[in-house]
Amino acid sequence: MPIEGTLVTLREERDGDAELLAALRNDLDTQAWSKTLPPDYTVPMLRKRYETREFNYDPLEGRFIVEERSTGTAIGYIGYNGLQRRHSAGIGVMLSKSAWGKGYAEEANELLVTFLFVELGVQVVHLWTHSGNPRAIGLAEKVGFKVAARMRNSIYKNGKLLDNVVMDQIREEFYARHPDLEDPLGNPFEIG
Amino acid sequence: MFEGPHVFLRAIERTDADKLFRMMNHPELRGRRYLDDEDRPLSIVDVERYIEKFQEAKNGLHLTVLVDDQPVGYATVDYDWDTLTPFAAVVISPDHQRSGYGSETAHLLIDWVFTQLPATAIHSWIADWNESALRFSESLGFTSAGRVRRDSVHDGSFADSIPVEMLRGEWEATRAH
Repeated sequence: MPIEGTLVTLREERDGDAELLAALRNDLDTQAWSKTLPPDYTVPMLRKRYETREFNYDPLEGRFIVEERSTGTAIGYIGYNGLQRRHSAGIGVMLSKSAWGKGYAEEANELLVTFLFVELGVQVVHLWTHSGNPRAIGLAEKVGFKVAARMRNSIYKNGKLLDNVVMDQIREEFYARHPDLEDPLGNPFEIG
Repeated sequence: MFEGPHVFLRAIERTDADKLFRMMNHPELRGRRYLDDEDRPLSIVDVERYIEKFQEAKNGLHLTVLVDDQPVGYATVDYDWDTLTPFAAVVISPDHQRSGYGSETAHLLIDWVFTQLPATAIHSWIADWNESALRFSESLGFTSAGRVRRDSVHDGSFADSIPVEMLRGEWEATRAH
């Protein structure tokens, strides 16, 4: 069962997604990090990555395709990595530019953050972005993240020297935003 | 290349395993040994694996700190994929702390980063309970870049991390003094 929202669905990666993933990687606006340059990723590379993924009962990352619900079209990627069970994970998102400005990224982020707190029981979710991407910072703030640290002059992108921005959201903050949800887990170190 | 008045830094060697085994398992270094695994008791095989991993690492330095030819600690510079902002850490055995070896080692690493790498800044991460390391980083000229919450577990609670940084211009200013 995929993770369903109102506007988007997060589903597993499928055979035909390699074209979308290569296009997201090769777009300097959507891939965000200079680490992945140059924009020369090929469809066979992405397909191979998909095909060589093995069954695992203990995965420390989750990879999802974001699908527009109204049309069933794949519009982006969202995932978490570096999972420390019941403790922490980092998230990242890339949406095709044609899908920007419609609230899709916000809902995809909210769905993934909800999955991490409610299903995986983590205490904190982190994300990394940079000062040249105020859109990503604003989006993260909309779904409950706060700027945790700002490391100056750490990113070079698009001819600019930028700050590396770390954002975080702790469990209590997530549940405060969702008063309809109960949290029997809380902070295990603080159970009396 | 890495020689101060008291310390000499050389590449980490397999023959350091016994000394590092004792150092890395020292109770006072819990949570501050700057290894992937902060809290678990390490076997000699674990330590040998770390040494192998350090020796294979291409993007940085993994050095043993020697005083009078004896290992007293280890030091790391790691720039992963981006030489703009290397990460650095110095670990001195509790038996040899407060002798200035950490400071001497840190200065050698910082000078290396800014003279040998096209770096704009150097950074490190310190657990918020580790006050002596925070003071140490300040004494070297690092400043806090914020606070990342619940980044680790220490002594019955989640602990925050304080990323610390020093820009190239700040390093140059400390040298001018």
